Amino acid sequence: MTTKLLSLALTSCLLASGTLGQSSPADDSEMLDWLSNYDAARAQARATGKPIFLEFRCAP
Amino acid sequence: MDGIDLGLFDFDRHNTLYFFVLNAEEQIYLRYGGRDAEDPLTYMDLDSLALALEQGLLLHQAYLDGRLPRSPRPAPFFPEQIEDLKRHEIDRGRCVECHLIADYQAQELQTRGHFDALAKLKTMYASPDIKTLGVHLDVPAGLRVERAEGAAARSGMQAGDRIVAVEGTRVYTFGDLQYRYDQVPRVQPRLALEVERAGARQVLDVELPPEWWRTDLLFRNWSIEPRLHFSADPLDAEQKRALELAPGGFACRVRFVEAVATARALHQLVPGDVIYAVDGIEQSPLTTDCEVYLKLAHRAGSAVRLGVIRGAERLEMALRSERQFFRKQEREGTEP
Repeated sequence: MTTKLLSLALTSCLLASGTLGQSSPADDSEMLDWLSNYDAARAQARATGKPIFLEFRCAP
Repeated sequence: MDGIDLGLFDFDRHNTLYFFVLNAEEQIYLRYGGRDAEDPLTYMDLDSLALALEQGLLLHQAYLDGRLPRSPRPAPFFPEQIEDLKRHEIDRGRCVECHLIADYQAQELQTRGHFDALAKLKTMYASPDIKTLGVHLDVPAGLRVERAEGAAARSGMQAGDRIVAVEGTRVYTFGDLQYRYDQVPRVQPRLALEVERAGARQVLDVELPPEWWRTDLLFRNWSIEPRLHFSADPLDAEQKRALELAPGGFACRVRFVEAVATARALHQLVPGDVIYAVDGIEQSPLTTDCEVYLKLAHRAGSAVRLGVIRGAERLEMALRSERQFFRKQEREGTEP
């Protein structure tokens, strides 16, 4: 299961809609490459044949 | 949330976190999220998220192989189509937070369009809690039942069952389950839950308890119209009998009154008062709670006559409700 999950994280497009404008953590060597543009994520998903994991986060 | 297609990404806006797994053609495979009234994270943890992501990959592979039926895309709907949201937030360049969408949609139900108590019942009590049916999930294991009580147990649900469909719709996560469960008409008496047990599937016929949709509304308070400025608890059968009130009525006892009610001369209720009638009506097919009845049946700003028992006296009392005032909304033209 760990291998499959890692594969999903590395090969999928990741989009965080609720975190627009926020900067990445200082140490992102193990972090995921989140996108913040939905259209760009769709284009990348289409080009790579991979699914999108999309997050909505309430950030008051 | 501005610019986001709310029709496609439809979810209870009072969730702190909510996820979708979908493909580039915008076919949503599953949802991950959902909550109860106690905690936004009750149904979320890393193990169940891992299961959801695994399932998302499997569904994506099925899609690539042509084995996944194409689901119709919901009609687009954007935040700027909510007039008050556009006027007060979007046009002012303010951030459109998820819950503001629900807040302004609730307000629009009060100020525009056809007022429908049954429709309001659904939006006011969004995302019913399956625990009301007696379904307790083993959250890290996704939709596996940890224990079944009440209506779920009476339908034949057992610990270890895995829920696979709600009303014929395949569900993979609690997010899927709660989303589909939320679509059940609030007056529907029964629910079909399909479970997998020892490799076989069966559909359980669950008899829905009275007011199965009812949850604590505190965490979505800003979306609830109108403001009554009091809280009350429904009377039980014995208490109604003692006061010679209809057993099926919505009589309730006032527990708390906000000071603003007196300051703005909205009503003169005090703790201990029993409300038994609203404009002469003492019972409703929708609810046995007078506070809920008032919110369902009346628009914000309306004036009603309450039938009240105070001590040994029966009184008639006026009540005027108010609209919600959001912290970012300015008062011009928005008074009730």
